Amino acid sequence: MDKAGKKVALDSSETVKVVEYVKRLYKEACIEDCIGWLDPHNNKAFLTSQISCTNNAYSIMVSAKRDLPDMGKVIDHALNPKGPAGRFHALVPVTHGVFAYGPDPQAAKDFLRWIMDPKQYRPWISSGDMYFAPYLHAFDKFPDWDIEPRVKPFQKVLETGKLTSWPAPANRAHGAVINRWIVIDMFTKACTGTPTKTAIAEAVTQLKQIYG
Amino acid sequence: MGRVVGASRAPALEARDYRPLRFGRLREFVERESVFSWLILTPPLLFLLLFLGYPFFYGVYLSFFRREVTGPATFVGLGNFVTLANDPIFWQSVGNTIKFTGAATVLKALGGLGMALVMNQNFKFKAITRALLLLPFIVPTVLSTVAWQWIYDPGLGLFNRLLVESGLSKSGFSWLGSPTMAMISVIIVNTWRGLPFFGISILAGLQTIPVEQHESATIDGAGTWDRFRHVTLPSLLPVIFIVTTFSVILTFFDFQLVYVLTGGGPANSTHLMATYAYSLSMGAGQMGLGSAVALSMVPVLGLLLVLLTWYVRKD
Repeated sequence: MDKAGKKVALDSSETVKVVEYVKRLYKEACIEDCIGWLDPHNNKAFLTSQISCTNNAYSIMVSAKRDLPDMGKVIDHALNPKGPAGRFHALVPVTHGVFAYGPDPQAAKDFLRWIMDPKQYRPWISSGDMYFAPYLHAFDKFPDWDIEPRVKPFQKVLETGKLTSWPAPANRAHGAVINRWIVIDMFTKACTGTPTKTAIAEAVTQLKQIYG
Repeated sequence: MGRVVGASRAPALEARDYRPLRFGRLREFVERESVFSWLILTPPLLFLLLFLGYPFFYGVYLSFFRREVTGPATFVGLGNFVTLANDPIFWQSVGNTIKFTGAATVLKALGGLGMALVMNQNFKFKAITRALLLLPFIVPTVLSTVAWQWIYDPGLGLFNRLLVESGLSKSGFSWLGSPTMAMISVIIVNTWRGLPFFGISILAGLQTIPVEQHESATIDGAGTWDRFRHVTLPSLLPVIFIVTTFSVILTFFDFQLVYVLTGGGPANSTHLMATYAYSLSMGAGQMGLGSAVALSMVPVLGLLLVLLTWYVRKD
């Protein structure tokens, strides 16, 4: 979508280039199965040596260090490759919400304020071994990033991380796009034989229907 | 009934003082067959109204609104249905449902018939074989489907390991990875699960065929195939028809199997109408649109029920 989140921007020559690139990537570098994968499948494929590179959080290294130490020793992480428009990473924020109809919303908000205080927040983040990255700038120089040097790329990701709706705002409509796998299906259809232009056109139709 | 009781009670009444029964009138009223049958039906009817009727009518109501989770409902009339009519994924799910139901039902009917014919024979361990053959239908669908996920796994799954170890294939198939294979895989699992339903029902039908018919056919010179065609099959047709209709209804509305195995499959290639309705309502939070998808399944159900009722009434 465009920056205002009003006009569908998917219908462009850049999208055609991207889809063609992904088709080549799929044909030459990916295992056939990956288009049917759900969330845990890439972890499984990597840990069973079916693939040697994937886009993921560092859970694969955690499992490998615990269960497959030889593999765990040689796993590493790198930033996403840079494209013509720059380097980007998907930021998947874990957020908190307070139900307005709860018995005591103010107490819930006070609790959230309390837990985001560095005194509580630091040990909480540390206990996750930096799997969950703190992305408020106050925590940019968090010392725990140095414990395992191979996870430092995830600290750098925050500099180029964007919400998946970027440049449009994240809103309910964008949530529907994510939950209905519209952009992912565009790539999947193109990789399984649908002509590029058709796959893009179908995704654009659906985006128009969702954004209204 | 009343008259017979009266006649047998008459001497007893004459022998002692007649005292009116406690709540006599009420009891008499309740014991009337028409009243009693409604009384017995009321609790399950209320249960059905509450747990089936209410969600159904609420779903119908929702389908006329644009209702997103945590948002207010706005009346859109037939707007949701118009949206669906222009939604290629909706039509894909309709096509998938028809393909899935058609293929699986044919396979189950043929397989069930074969299974029934085998189970009708006398052989050692017949009882335990029958019990084992029923297992796919009895095991909870979610459990068996998770097991099938492992069987279909491209690297570690049973099928691909067997194919690779036996040298029949270099890397096995992408059972759940390609759109065509995913649909085939889902049909296989549904067939595996539903076969016992056909088998057991047709077996019951087979056992009602009088042995004398087979005997007289054999005496008249009919071979096994002729006996099957002219004695067994005609007697089985009513059973097969009813079981097939039930199976079509159950398969058309199948959800668990596809949801667990592929979640709708690579690029919606295994999305059934039920899973698509769920994905729209629970996944995308568009409850009105999801309800509209669910509602659009009802005419098919209605048609099948009418067919079934006509057939049963015919007899």
